[in-house]
Amino acid sequence: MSKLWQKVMLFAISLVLGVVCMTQIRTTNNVLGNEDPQNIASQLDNELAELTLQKNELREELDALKQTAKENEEIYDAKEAELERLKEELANQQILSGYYEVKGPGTIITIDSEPNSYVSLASSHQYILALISYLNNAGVEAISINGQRYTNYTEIVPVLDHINVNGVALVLPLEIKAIGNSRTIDASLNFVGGIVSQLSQIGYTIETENSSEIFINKYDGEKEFKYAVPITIEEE
Amino acid sequence: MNIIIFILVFTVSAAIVNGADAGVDENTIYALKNLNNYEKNVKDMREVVKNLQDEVLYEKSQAKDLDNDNFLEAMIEMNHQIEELKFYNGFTDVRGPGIMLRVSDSLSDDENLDIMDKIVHDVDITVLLNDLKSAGAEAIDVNGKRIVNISEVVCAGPVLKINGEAVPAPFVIRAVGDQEKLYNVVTEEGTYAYDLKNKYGMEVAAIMSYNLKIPKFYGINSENKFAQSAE
Repeated sequence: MSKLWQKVMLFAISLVLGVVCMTQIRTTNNVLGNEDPQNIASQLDNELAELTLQKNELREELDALKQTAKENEEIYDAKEAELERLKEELANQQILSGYYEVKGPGTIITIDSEPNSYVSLASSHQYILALISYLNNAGVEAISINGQRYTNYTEIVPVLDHINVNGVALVLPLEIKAIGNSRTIDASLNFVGGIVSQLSQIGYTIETENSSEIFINKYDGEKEFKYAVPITIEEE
Repeated sequence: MNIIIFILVFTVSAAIVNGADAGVDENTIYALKNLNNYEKNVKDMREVVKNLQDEVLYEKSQAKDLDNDNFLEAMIEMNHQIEELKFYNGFTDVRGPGIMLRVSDSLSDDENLDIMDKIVHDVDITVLLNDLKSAGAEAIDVNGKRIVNISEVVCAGPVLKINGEAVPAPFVIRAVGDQEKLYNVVTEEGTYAYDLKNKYGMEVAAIMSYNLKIPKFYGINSENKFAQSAE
């Protein structure tokens, strides 16, 4: 009996010890894992250092990209502004040249002879020239005479009883269109002894009509330069 | 038998204690305590790096294409057109052969002449300029004021007003073009200049020149405020 008891005791103790022993080992493994925690900490340390380095590099790259983008934006804006300025200058010169149709507010002046009076347009051509000069004095930006645009090279030539403008024969009535400030035009033409009263004195009737929108034709001829050459900056 | 059991239990207990220790020293415990923090830091840092990478990619994709070539081409083309028009419009200094015409008030003692007929008027200059244009003048100036299609030549008391500035006599008109034609249009009998000289006694003198320099237009009102393109 005592031998059997001893064997049972031994078996029981061994069983308990085995279970305790294995539990202990498993618990240790669970807590520490397969690897040494110091190793893991060291690996994490290394990774953190690498990530920090990467973060700094990316931050620098991002700053540089943002700076470049800002500079590019400024350059782009400056270029856009320059293009805009050139477009305006081009449009301005195109209008001045007379090679483009233009519209705007202004005055239409109609010149005709007084009923029952004979006037020679050819012998009065200097009055038409003076009228244009006074329109320019009023700051007009485009002029046409019976549809003929007054350009830099337009001449008014007396021929027989009529006048040639841009080589085209014009007779009375003359319709002179001018784009500009109507009030200034009126003041420039209608002063005492001014061009309107001069024309009236020699037998013409002058009617003026202000309009908020006048269309002026373009000049469709060509000008060839044979003698004048531009002076370049080097020559100056 | 008891002794055997005692030895066995003692050995196993010792093994257990030894096993439980498992090299867990103070450093290991400290490391274990901080391991979670480390892991959190690393995770956060990974996220920061990922966000930065995304931002860099975004910035790269947003970078504006400055399109230098097209821009330069447009600029060159536009400048070329502007220069051409400026030359045509009288906004460029030019040189070339032509004539110089000097006009000043009459010094004639002829008492039959009205005093007003002895003075050079705005219309006289206007007609002379028109005559020069009809003779093919390509560039004209009066006392350094370039004559263009928006130039005015009007009376302003004792002086003329040209391109917004006062111009006193004597008036020196310079025109670039065919010298013969220009000379003839201001000297031949029946021309306006001929009459000014021979009928009214005004000082009118023309000479040819092989190299005249005509300045560009310097007007104050060369910007269009009213006219706009209708095309």
